Amino acid sequence: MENIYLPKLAEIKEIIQETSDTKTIRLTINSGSIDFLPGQFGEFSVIGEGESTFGFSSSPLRKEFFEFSFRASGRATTGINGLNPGDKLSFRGPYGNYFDTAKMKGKNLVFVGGGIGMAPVKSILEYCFDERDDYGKITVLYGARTVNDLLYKNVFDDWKKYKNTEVVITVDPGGETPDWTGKVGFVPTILEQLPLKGENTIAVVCGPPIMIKFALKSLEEKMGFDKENIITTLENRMKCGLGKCGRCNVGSVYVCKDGPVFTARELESLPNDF
Amino acid sequence: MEEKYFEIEAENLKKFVNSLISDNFNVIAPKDKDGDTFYGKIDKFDEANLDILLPKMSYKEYLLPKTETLFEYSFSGADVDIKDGLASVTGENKKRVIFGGRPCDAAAGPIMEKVFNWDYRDEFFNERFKNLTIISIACEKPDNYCFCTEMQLSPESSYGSDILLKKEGNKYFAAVVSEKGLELITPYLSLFKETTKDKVPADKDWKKIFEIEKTKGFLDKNFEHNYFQDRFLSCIGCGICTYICPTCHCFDIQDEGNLKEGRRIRNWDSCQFAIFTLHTSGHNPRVTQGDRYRQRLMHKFKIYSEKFNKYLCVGCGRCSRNCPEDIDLKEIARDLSLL
Repeated sequence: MENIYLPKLAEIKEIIQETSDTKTIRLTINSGSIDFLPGQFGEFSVIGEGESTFGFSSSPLRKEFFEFSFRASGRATTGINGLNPGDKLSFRGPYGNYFDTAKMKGKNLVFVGGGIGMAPVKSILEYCFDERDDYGKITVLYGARTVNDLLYKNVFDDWKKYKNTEVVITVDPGGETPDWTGKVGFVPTILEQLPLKGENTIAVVCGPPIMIKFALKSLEEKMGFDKENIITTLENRMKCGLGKCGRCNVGSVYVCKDGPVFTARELESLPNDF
Repeated sequence: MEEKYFEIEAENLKKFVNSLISDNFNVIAPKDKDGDTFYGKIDKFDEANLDILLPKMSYKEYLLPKTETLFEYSFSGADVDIKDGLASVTGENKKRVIFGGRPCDAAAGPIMEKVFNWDYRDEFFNERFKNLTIISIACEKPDNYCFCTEMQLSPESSYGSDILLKKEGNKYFAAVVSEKGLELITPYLSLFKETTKDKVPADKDWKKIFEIEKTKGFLDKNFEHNYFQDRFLSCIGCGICTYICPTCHCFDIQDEGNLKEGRRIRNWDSCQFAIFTLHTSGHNPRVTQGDRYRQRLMHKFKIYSEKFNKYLCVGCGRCSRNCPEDIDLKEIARDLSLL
């Protein structure tokens, strides 16, 4: 008989201080990664401090570790924030659905991320980089409030090295520093300036709700994207991740089981409960 | 299993229950406590209150305890040792018998069972459910808050029970509807007299005052309806409706302990609390009490039924009887069915 609430213990291999208040934690179980797919999530915890829900931010094809990014804000994340490489972290998962990579194959891809919402985007983005020949042009648009709020600065240059790939980084007006060489402007504004068309292109969009709202509007109304070809993820407060504890539903849809990945078409049919 | 029917004299029913107790069964029955009645362990038949319509709480806690340990942990240096909580459930008590509960409470078991077993199997629930044998007594006089008939059950429904008793004068008719029920009474068959279905008094013609399908029909189409925000302005969000409900099963998971050791526990939670869905960012998908009561209605009459083709409500009326604001679920479900 299996206890579905029993976590595995993972070892922290590396901690990357992404910004002043966010970190990425790289974990291993038996010196390797676990089987998951981009878009899925897990329940992470320092035993004794409670669990938190995070999407994976690494490519599952990179087998030496799996990672997630977080901001220390409550009891559980403050617990995780106090850990060092070599420490143990408890983990349950992977849970939920995932990005439909079969549908993305052969298409041009645009990845749009905002703030810490870039975490699940990074997973599917790096997955596509790992199978680079399967996809057409890749455009990455990542924005944050300020330069300090950008995660994954250490891998921007790696992303740029892939063929037929454009990486655009932006910060909100007023969030730039004197030496900032990227764009200045809100993500939806910059998105509309990019030479993108809806044909044969899939958009992956994750970020704060307000950014998603306007980015979807830009893609659908100004850039000719079909709702079927815009994919996003929902985040809701969760406890079990198993479709039982009863809090992550949006109408009849359980984000933990039916999501977290949804197309804009699917979002459209959901009631305003998220 | 094909149902079997028996007659048992009231005096023999008493002997039967007392024999179960002396044979080390853990018998739970409606039991008076401090001027109220709750399900609790009885040490003799006479402690059971079989006259009460419904005990204050259902016996949900025997399937899903208010608090239960998912696992225990202890630290030694940098290492953490984890002890699976399932082991203690498996060994928890001997077989349990719920005696003298009502058909609505019995129906809640198989309704919750679906939630705890779609896809991922929750063996904490399953272990308890498997070890519970349920002997219910049909209701003779439901009160004005009751609406089991509208919820596709009835005061005489055997759904979820292993044995259903019907009182007639100084004796009871026992419909044994499961193998578990038959197994329970087999050692005591001398107290029972086998009979046939036609000898058992027929069910009364219980009348419905509304059609729950129409309530669902309203909920299907009216997520944004003003009704929710207006009707639940008076709701104080105390959550008693969910705690007292036989089918509300939403839970929280928390760690509780000290620097040396502790446990990860599952506690009853309530969709009526703002914090239930509050995001770390401060965003809350359900801001008003209207949003939250709407969720309760949606879950019971729409969301659950779309998944499992039944309703997440047995019509016991406890939420209404115990609401400090007299918010009456029967009345609400009826009103929505007419809108």
